[in-house]
Amino acid sequence: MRSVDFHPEHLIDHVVRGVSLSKSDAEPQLHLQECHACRLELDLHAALNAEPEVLTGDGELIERAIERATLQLSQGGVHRIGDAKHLRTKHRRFSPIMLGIGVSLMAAAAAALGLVLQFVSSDGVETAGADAKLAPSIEARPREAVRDPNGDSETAPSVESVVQVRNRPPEKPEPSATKEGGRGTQLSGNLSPAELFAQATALRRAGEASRAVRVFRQLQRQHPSSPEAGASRLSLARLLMEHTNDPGGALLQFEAYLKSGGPLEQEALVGQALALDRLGRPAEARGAWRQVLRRYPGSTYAKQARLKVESDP
Amino acid sequence: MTEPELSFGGGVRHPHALPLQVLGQQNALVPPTQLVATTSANVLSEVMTSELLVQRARSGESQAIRQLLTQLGPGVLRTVRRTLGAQHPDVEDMMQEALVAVIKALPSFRGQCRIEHFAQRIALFRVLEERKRQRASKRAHGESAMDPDQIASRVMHPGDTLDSRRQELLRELFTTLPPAQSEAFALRHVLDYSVEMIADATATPANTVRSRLRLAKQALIARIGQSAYWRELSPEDS
Repeated sequence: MRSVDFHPEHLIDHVVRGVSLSKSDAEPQLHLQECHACRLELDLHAALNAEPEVLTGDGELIERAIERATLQLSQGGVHRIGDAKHLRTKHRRFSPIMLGIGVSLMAAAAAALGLVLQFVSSDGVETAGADAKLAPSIEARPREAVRDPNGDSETAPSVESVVQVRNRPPEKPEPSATKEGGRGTQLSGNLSPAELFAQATALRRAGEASRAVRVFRQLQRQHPSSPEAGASRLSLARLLMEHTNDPGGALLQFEAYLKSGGPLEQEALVGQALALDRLGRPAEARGAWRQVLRRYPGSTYAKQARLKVESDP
Repeated sequence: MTEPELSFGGGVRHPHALPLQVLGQQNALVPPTQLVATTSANVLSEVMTSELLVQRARSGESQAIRQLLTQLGPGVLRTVRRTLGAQHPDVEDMMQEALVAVIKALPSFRGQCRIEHFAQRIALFRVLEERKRQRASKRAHGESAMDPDQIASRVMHPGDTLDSRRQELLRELFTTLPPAQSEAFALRHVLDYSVEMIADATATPANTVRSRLRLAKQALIARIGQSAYWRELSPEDS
């Protein structure tokens, strides 16, 4: 590349695409030596390339993803993609007809019902009796409608069962789990910090927040000086804030993390401010937000911090 | 999108060019001229097969959709993995989302580039979009954007080398940069696109792309300056 054409982005292009610079390209070479930004960007790119692209089990992973994607597409109606316009037009063309048929049917049904009621009352039978006769069939209809043709009731749960599930009281903790760390100890035994961390993370991902909390606490109690215990403070804090509604507990975790120091200091500061907000301690929360703003003025949280500092009295 | 032509006689090889066996280079005894003819025929046949497959998939033929996804799967997985990280727990879910997005985007495929490149771009944009959506959703709910999976990944895969931190920083930028910068930056680093290729892919003048990449680099430097953890990555310190 001639020096007259030289642009730092072209230099990055060359290196990213695997074309080495020739010895005659003095200016780009010099630029690369002096420009920290370009060198940093190239370092990052090289790091991305250093990651393995193919892992064992990729074949199965791809197959599973394809299986799920095709299922998702068939449920979402991939056939509509190319033909969406056509289908819409077709739908529009038929909709007045369908509407007409619907109105006629409703009118006929209303007329029939009127005739029946008139006939029943003219015979001297009480209307309540007519209601009693009609009632079972009306009640039975939705049940029949939701029943699976094969008689498999599991595919269509009854309204009652859904209501029961919704109204079910929260599960009582198991006796062994009521004590702090009881269940966790039983589950985790004498595990290493890494194993405890992995177990707690698996529980968290599975949605078992309270058990994850117990295992994280066990990790902190048994291996307080391990790096896993340090990192667990943020995971635990977040679980306490979001799943067990315990901002006080979360605040203690954020403060402990900040005291010991770590790469996620910024996140811990924001967490601390959010926990103080949640605890209804506005003056302290404002102080924490100010700290975020002072220490990380250009961060992604700065805008939120500024709003908090400015909006509160 | 205009892409560099495949060069059989040396020169610049497109990073997403056909694998060597497709180019016929496994047959070392074939004279160069004959090799060019054979390989051109192979490439042509492959392109035609792909086009046919795309057409059938576009019309909703389920067997063609499956066949096309099988063909595109490895490239899409590579893209998802480079964007999220090899050990990220969402790789499989995002792979599924990306494949669905590719099929849904087929009507917009005009055949001006290879279907593999199109699919990788769609996959990249879908993953970026989802990551940004997740981040925005967390912030809208007043949560910290701190990702517990990221913390877990750091602890459970303790290869806390400079390389792993560099990967982490790059991926963080993909989700925190403004959309246009993030798109250009990710196309460059995930798919190895040049300025001109990004300009074509995003229908943007090359100078605008350069400007976006420069701004992304400025954001990178600013991010480095914000914490001691990242500052260790600075070339000044190494």
